[in-house]
Amino acid sequence: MLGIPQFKLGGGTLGRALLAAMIAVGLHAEENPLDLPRLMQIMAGAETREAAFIERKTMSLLAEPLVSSGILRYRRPDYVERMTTTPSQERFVYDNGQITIEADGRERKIQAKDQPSLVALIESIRATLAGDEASLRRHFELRLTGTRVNWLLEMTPRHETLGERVAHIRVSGRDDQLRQFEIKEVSGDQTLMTISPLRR
Amino acid sequence: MPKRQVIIAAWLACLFLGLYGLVTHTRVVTDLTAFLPQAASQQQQILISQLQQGPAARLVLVALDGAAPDALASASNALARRLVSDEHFDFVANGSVELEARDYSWLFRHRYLLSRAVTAERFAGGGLRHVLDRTRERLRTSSGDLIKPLVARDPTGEFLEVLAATDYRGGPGSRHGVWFDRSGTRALLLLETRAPALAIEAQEAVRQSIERAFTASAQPGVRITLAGPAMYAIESRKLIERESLTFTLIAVSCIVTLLAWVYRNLGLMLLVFVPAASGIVAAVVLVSVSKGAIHGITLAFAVTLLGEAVDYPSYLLLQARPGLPLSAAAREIWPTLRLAVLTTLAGGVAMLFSSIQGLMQLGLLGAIGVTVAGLVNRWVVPAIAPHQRPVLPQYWKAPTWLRRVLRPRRGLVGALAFMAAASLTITHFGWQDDLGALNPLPNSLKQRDQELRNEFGAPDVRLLIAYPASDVEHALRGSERLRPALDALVQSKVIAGYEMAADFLPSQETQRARLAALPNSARLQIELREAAKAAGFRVEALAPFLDEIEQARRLAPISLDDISDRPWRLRADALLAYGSEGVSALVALRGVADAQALAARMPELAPALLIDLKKDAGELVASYRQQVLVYTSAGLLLITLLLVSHLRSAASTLLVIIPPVLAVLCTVAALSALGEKLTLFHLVALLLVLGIGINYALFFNRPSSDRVFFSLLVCCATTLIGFGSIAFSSIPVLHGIGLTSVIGAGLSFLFSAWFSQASADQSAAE
Repeated sequence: MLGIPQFKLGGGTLGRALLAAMIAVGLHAEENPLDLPRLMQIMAGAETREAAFIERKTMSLLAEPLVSSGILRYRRPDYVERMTTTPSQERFVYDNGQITIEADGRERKIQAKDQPSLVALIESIRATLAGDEASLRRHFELRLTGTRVNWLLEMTPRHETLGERVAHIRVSGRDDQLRQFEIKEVSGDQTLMTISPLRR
Repeated sequence: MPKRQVIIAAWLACLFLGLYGLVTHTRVVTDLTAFLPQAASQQQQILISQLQQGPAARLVLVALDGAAPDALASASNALARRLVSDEHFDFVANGSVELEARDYSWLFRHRYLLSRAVTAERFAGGGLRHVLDRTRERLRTSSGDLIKPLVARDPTGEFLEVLAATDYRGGPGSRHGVWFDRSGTRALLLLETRAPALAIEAQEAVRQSIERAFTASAQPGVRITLAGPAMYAIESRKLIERESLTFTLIAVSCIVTLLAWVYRNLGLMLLVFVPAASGIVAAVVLVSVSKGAIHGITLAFAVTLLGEAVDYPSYLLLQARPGLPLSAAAREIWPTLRLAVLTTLAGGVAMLFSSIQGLMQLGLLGAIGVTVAGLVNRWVVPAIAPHQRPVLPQYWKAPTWLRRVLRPRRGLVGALAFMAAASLTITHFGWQDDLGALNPLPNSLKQRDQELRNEFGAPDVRLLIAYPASDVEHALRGSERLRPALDALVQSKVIAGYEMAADFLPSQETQRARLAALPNSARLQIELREAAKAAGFRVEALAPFLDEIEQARRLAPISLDDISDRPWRLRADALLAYGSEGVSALVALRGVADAQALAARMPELAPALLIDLKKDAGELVASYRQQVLVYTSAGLLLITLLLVSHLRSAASTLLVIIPPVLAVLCTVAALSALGEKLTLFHLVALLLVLGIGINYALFFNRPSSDRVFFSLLVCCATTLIGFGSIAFSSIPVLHGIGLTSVIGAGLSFLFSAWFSQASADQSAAE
């Protein structure tokens, strides 16, 4: 896939910019609505991914949102890593059913399989990245809107335990890149993760 | 013949009295620990008390397999539900959520009593601000969502502190909501019985109760396996009963066939068992009356030792000259037989002074048994013997090949003994110092137990710190005071971590201090307003916290009874050792990286003691073994003195004493070459070998005849058959005794013949 060419506006380059924009539009001619199998197919194309994230957690307990940032890594089909670097360090790895959390120099391992709501939560991001439609459908009611360059996938938990806490999860993106990942809780608390790709 | 009738009447009276006593007064205990020495050190006392009454002994581990994991999970739940309401069990767990949810809510309710972090500073000013800061940072992490629902009620994170301390560390993994082993093919349950592990009848009822519950909740294909000390006690008893029966039947039928061929008369055959049986009855009754109870293993050993007494009537009946009345023959043979009895007595009498209860009993049983057997053989056997006399010995002639085999070969004896001694100095000679080796269970059962224990992550702790005190409360307090030093050891990476009963049950003193540290509502409100704001919390969102503290302030301190039906009760119990002089709180150390640094710190922690379970247990067995060796040497000295005083010649004494001693030496070498590690069982069997060997040597050195030779052959053959059969047993006790006795008795016989003065040459001349 082509990225978006960078160019400056003004300085007599407007004409070229317009041209480039037209080419870009032409390349992404699929302005018509995107369907789920197609999105899944696009997502499944990436072997590895690496992206920076900024996460804002808004909760009723706190006066201000909690902000943290770090790097997300993904490797087909079952490896998801979330490395928080600021304000404190933490490494969360989901690898084929096994969760490992490293923080404060200690390492904890958890079997995800035994906790269905945890599995569902992890699948919301892993299955999206992997293009695993079956798994997404197993855990969530799905609603996809938008186009290939600006899509939004809304997931409502099927699992009772998760549904008690999570109202919905919204993932938005452009092509095969995630842009935003949002968890809206029943209580009104919200986790919003903004994602910007580092490399492919 | 009035004298004869008096003897018979007296013997019968004694026998009936004995049998009456046997039925009414004999209590057999099966507690293995009677065979441990009186603990010399405090460490050893704790060790023994753990062995005797540690709650680990009451655990039953259940494994379900043979079906798909989801079927096993529902079988596990069904079984657990039935057993929870069964009065046989104090505690039932299968890892299911239903069982754990109530435990979690209990822990949550009592968190301010259990959390080590509770201090007055934690709920005021900068302290509170600091804790709230930490909680906020926890909310930020990836596991923050898990704790978020609890933060409003528990913003200082006490529940997390409690969970960290009481976490079922290393417990089995769970699948489908219940505990499974690592391979995922067996569902696991953990039960604790109300009955003590060694109450075999009660444990049998427990086992039946589990099996009933299993049958009632059965799923197709599912199989059940039970493990744990109590279940093994039942299984091993059954196995011992079964094997003893099998081997006894084999041995008895072989021996009866042999005796039938030799005696060709039922009365004479029965007569052979009279002295030994009388001796056993007398010994058992006298010991259980004087000591209150008799130890099961002691009894087995005593019967072994008295195996020698079965030979006495054969010596008498087979050696008696035809035509000579049996009473006259008994008088004639008496000096030699008396010496046989006395030497056996001497061999065992030193054990009477042992501090080991079981060994002392064994000495007493052996002494009484062999004395009574000797006396019965001298007076009762001639009195009750039928008129028929064995026919075979009167015309039996030793075949030429046998005479050739048994020709004196002192050089060969010397060479063999030299080789044995040399092989013992070269090869690493194995004493079994593992306490587990005293366990009469077959090895396959022990392995199964270990394997299941590993699956449960049951602690296999080697190093412990014990804090001895007069009662539970003081022991808990003392162990709590070790924490700063232990934390420092963790910090400096000497140990990876530790666990103590106070983690699950803090001392009353500590709990009261924690309650006193909780502020009242008005005070907390003021403190919270400031700290919450500074830490970024919305004060009104933390309102539930004020109620929680107010409720906690009204709680009473928890006691051992309050946690009786909680899973961590087991671990609290396992970390309290009850002894005769009080209670010790144990600190289990995990991941000891530097044992020397640890030992170096111990003096500062006095009166706390460092216990190395494996080393201390090894030392215990070693010190015990030393005792046995000392007593055996003393016995040997006594035997030599006896022989010298009776035989009145150093040369004849040497002739009698050298063959059995060298036979024992060669037996030890042979056992060692066979890869056997010497245990208690082997040592007792060696004592028997010495006793039998001296008898052989005594008779080989009597004016010889084919009759004497024949009687010796018969006696040796019965011994070899009797003990040879049990050498094939899968039970270590029986196997050890059997193998040692067969090798030893065989060698004693050969050595006595090869070494004897008279021997086969003379008998050939006769």
